[in-house]
Amino acid sequence: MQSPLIPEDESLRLAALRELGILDTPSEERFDQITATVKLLFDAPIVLVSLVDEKRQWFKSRQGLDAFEIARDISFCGHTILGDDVFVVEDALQDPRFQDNPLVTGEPCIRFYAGAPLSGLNGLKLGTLCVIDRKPREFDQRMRAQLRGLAQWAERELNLAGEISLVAARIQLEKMKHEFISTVSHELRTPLTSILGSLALIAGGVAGTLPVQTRPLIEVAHRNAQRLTRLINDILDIDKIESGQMQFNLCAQELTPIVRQAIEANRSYAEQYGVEFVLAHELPGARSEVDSDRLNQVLANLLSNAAKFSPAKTEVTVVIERRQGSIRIAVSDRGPGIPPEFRSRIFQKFSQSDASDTRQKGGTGLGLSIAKALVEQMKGSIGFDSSPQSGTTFFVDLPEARAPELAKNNGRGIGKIDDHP
Amino acid sequence: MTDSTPNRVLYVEDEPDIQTIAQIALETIGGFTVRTCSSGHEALSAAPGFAPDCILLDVMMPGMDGPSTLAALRMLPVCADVPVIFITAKVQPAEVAHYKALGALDVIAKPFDPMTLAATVRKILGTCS
Repeated sequence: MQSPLIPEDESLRLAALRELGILDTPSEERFDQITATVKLLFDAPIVLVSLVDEKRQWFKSRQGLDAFEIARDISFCGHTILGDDVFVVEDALQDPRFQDNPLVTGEPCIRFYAGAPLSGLNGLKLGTLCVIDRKPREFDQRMRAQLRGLAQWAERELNLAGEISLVAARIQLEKMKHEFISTVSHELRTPLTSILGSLALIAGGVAGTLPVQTRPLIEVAHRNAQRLTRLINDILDIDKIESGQMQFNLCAQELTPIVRQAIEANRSYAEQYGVEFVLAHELPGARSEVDSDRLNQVLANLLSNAAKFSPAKTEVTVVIERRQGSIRIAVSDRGPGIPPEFRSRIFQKFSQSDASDTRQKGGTGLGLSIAKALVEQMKGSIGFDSSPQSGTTFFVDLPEARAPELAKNNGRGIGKIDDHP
Repeated sequence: MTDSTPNRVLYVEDEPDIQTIAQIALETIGGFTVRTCSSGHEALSAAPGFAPDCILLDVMMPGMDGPSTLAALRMLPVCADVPVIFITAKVQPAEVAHYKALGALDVIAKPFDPMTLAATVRKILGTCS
């Protein structure tokens, strides 16, 4: 008797079988339907869906056999999983590999066997669909093809469970990731708050006048503590957006005041770079349904990027214009433009155009990906045009909200309370 | 001797370092008299003796959290009408409305800027009659 060899990928095979979580589970109608159909089609006494485990083959579905499992070393199916195609033994008594096999010489008295291997999602052979008879049979190409086709049905059912649990596992993993990010960020925030507060007080002179040499060092520490805080806030923001936990207070409102406010808020930042913001074109009465805080956040990112990448003493131009049913807010700088190799990943997390620039430019690398996510939540889109000759323009397009009938007063919304501070 | 300007602040926060920063910020810059407490329980025992004009409550504290502390403080005669301000990282409009519905006058965002904390507190207190 020849016991089936152990295949080379046995440990991977066993791992895949475990993951499937199918061994020793109760029989299910969807598999019994397969074996019943095969039994009818081939008019055979025994049909099995078997899974080949380390030391046994276990039957998920059986027709015509009482046993739930059989030792692997005397199994036929153990041989089937070694190959890619249907394995046939037309007369076991004539086959030196099987003629003294206890399953042949004794119960269930196997004379004929035809088994098709069943593969898991990654191509590893997990078990078989097999047909067994107590008398020898011929099994021609047509029958092999039929068995192959039916085996595909069995494979689909087998891997269904695997696919479902993969999806469930992925969902679970995402959830754990969000919880982890949230927890870690909050833990990091607490000591950072103390560091930041302490440095703010010292830098503010509350603890006494600082010696000349101490001042710049305190300012370095303060700036970087602020930077760390921004990074943690950005990470938390992105995580909240991705896990669907960020709340948006959408309200149809005029965009011009929000743009003006964002320009004001970021003016002193731009002054550090010798850059001035100019609102070159407004659109009174242009309204959209937005969350004003979040839009502010988006504009702050675009404005600060524009300032950072502008040559000193240049202007960053902001324009509000109407374009076919949407309102566009465009921020243009006269900087060096976005390098071609960076353009496709500019909205991705932690992408910054030049690693060597990172520390100088001081961003978190998350600003644009947050901006994109926020704009999209407000049913808008974000994009850019860039060239080394003319600089870069980032634009946000938001769907226009028609003014209500009441507000017919130069397009200014009366009776509408804006909810920004 | 009574001073009509609110000056006595009871500050409830479990993190000792944040207590230190807030105390300096409120006393040195704002001229407030500050009593810090590390828990809701400590606040309940300190409040009658301290007679605060204003209570600053951290929301997230182990044991009694901010809202529970508020509810308990309101049962003390000396604190029944004292303005309370919550300090919390959650400052979305819906969350602020929730805290105000619990009885707080307003909410200050955490982390706060120690250089402006006192002014913010004065501004909020100025809005209550």
